[in-house]
Amino acid sequence: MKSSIYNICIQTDGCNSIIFNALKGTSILVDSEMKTAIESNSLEMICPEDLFTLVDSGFLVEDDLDERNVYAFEHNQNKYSTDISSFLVLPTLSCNLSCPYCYEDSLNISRSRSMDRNIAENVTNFIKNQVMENHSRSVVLGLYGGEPLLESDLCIQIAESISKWTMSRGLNYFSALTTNGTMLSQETFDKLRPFISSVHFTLDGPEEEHNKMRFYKGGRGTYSDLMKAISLAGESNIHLTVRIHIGDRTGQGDFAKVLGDLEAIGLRGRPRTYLYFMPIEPKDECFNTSSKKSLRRKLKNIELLPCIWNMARELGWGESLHVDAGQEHSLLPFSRLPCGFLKNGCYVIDPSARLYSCPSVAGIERYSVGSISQDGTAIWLPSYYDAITASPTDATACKDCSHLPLCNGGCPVRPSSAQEPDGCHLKEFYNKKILTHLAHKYPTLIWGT
Amino acid sequence: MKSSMYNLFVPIDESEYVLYNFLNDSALIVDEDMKLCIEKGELNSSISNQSVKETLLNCGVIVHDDINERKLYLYRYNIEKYAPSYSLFIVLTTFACNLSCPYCYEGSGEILNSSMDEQTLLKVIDFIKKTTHEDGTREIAIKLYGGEPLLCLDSCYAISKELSKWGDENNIKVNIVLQTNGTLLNENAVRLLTPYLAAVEVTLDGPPESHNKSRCYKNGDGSYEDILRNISLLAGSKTSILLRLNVENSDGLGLLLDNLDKNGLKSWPNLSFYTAHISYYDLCEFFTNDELCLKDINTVLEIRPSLLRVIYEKGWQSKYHMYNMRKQKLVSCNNEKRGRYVVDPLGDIYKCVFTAGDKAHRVGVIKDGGVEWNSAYYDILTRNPLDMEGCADCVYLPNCGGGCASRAFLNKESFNASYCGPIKRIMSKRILLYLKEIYPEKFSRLVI
Repeated sequence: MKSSIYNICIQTDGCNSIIFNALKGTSILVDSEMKTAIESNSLEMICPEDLFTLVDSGFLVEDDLDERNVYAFEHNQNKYSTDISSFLVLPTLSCNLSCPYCYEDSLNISRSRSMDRNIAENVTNFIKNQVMENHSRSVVLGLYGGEPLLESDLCIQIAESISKWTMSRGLNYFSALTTNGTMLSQETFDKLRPFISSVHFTLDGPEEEHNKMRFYKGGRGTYSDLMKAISLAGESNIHLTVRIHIGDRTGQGDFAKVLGDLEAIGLRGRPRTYLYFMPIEPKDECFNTSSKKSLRRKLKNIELLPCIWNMARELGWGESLHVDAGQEHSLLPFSRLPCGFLKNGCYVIDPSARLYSCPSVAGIERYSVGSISQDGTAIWLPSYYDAITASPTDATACKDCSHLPLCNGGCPVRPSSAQEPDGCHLKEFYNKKILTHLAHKYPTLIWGT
Repeated sequence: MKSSMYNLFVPIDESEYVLYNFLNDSALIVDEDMKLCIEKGELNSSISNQSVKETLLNCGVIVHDDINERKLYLYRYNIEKYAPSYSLFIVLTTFACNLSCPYCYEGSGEILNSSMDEQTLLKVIDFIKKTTHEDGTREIAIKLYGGEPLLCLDSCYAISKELSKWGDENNIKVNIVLQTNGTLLNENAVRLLTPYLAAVEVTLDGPPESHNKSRCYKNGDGSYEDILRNISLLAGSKTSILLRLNVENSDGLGLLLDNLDKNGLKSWPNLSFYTAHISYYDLCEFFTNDELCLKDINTVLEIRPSLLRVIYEKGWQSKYHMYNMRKQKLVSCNNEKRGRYVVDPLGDIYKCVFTAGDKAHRVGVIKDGGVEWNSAYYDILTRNPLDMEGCADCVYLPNCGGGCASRAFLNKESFNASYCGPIKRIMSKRILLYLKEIYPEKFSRLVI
């Protein structure tokens, strides 16, 4: 037996520490004696009963096990397996809003381009071809933009075609529309409903805050229109996801107000309703995630989340939160990939049928990694193979890092200028996440600092 | 433009070469000048003809400067390895056998002879269900294997029935193949199993006389007549019959096909066959002795044209599964991929049928709560030829994938090592034989 290389030890007070195993997602509170025994591999000091627990939870492993291979296996399995094929389609890059933080603006994306019907046909053929080639059991279709409902006919054309095709093949199908909500009329919703499974809305805080951030070209706020759209969708049995942004000045009372408005339109306790809170992040956040500056901001935001969750829970929204470890919106989602998009079987498609590895650069040709040809097949550029075969297990700074199973090496396609200008500061970030997560999950435990 | 790393030039006469590209699986005939051009990478200065350039590019013989072919290989390797289109479970219901073939790598069920008990059987069925869900595959193949699996008819029946039902309920296609020596395939076994079996695979060792010398019962009696009588119970059923015909030469194959014809097998619509060769040495030699392996491969390649001739002459071609010499091997062995499992009668998991039962090669154990993988499993699955000595720059890599992991382990004490075996000494011959087979006129004068 030996100590796992993925044990992360965080001192909580003078005599106790938390050991968190990043590969297994397990945690244990230990005294200084046990901490020393585990850290220094002095296992003869541990009684057999404790030894069993430590092995069972992954803090200790067999001598001949190279855990780097376990991680590499899980990383590759997540990256290359294609039981699900997912397609994020941007029918247009245009939008009827002018949100100041929109990354698409800052990247100077031409906002006037929409997909033409022939390209949409090529894209649906590509989706079908790719699902068959990938031998997938499930197909996920995302409709995204710009504002996809500016091209609602295209959304219907694509979603209807894929929905019917998957049904005829006995494949699982899930599709999500991400919209600003301003163009979701009853008529549009009724036409789309048979072919979509979920609608994803975003709120920038309570009415006043939201309207300052998400407004029409002329300046009028979108809050009341958006609430109408959420209410309309909420009357059906569709999956609803509401993302609530945490701004610099949003306080607890503001979130209560938003939740009050959502309750007024019947969302509280509604099945298939998902709520999550996200700080508004800078446009290039993914590229700079390990910098010191980004770290300071992130640490502050992490502290906020448990308070917001607790408040939401007290107001009766517990069932709509999915923040346990391993769940999508938790502090510790336990993915083995730095990003859900850079994955075999995952495709981001812009209105010109170009392919990308990341939605935030979709539409900028120089970032494209391939394109869809007229016969519905992909022509990949060398950059695609570079990006997808990049593995944190090859990176000197990452391959022996105890935190690797949590951070997974960060975005591998970020420009080299953005790579750790002042070293990697993610350990501190993840330690904070671990402690915050545990404090939230086990509030009765008494913590030190 | 630059030359591909994966070009091999095989001389066919004094002035011409077959240029085979391993990554693209393409072949061209080139002269000495072109060979030099490509070898030296003098592409822009020496190849001015645009259509020639286009052809070279399409064949992957030359590639754009910004293409890293190693990454292209790695991408395709990882997809093959980690994104299986189906899951395969080779289940050994028993190590025991009622025959005593002299070449048996399992020692005819006399070294290991345990059978799967009921408790293990239930755990194995559960393992197959759970693992298929984890693999995310829509299709599974189950091979009932041994020893002689029909010595445990009850286990074969339980696995087939339960998993077929489960497949129907979960929209998962279940293909079950019984690999049997055929001697125990009586009316009862056929009645119980055929509703679930996609195929039954049976081996014949040449014409009756030679078969009865090698595939005989423990008392020395031959099994040919019993096998033929038994498989006739399946004639015309919806279960396919696949015969493996082990032959030494074309004369033996000819006699065997005549005998099968005489017994009426040629008219069975559900019968097909492939030919193979017996290795008369034990498993350890097979894994560690390159010269013996090379001898075998050479024999198989050398007798291939004459076997084909006999098959066509006697009109059996529509039933023949020809071994595909062109097959690329990005990953060295099908069983090295994710989603491939060999389960022995004790519920131990291996990655290779030949090593099943040898605990040094065990990769996991099926326990009550699920499966427990050990370091060997992760070592084999994360084996990456680009990290292995001698592989990253090897022209043969896309057709070899780093070689057999079990051989590497036996020879170098690590799964994470390469094992070339005789691959480099056989590849040119294989390419030329293949080309001669599909372009007989063009290569009629070529002596291989």
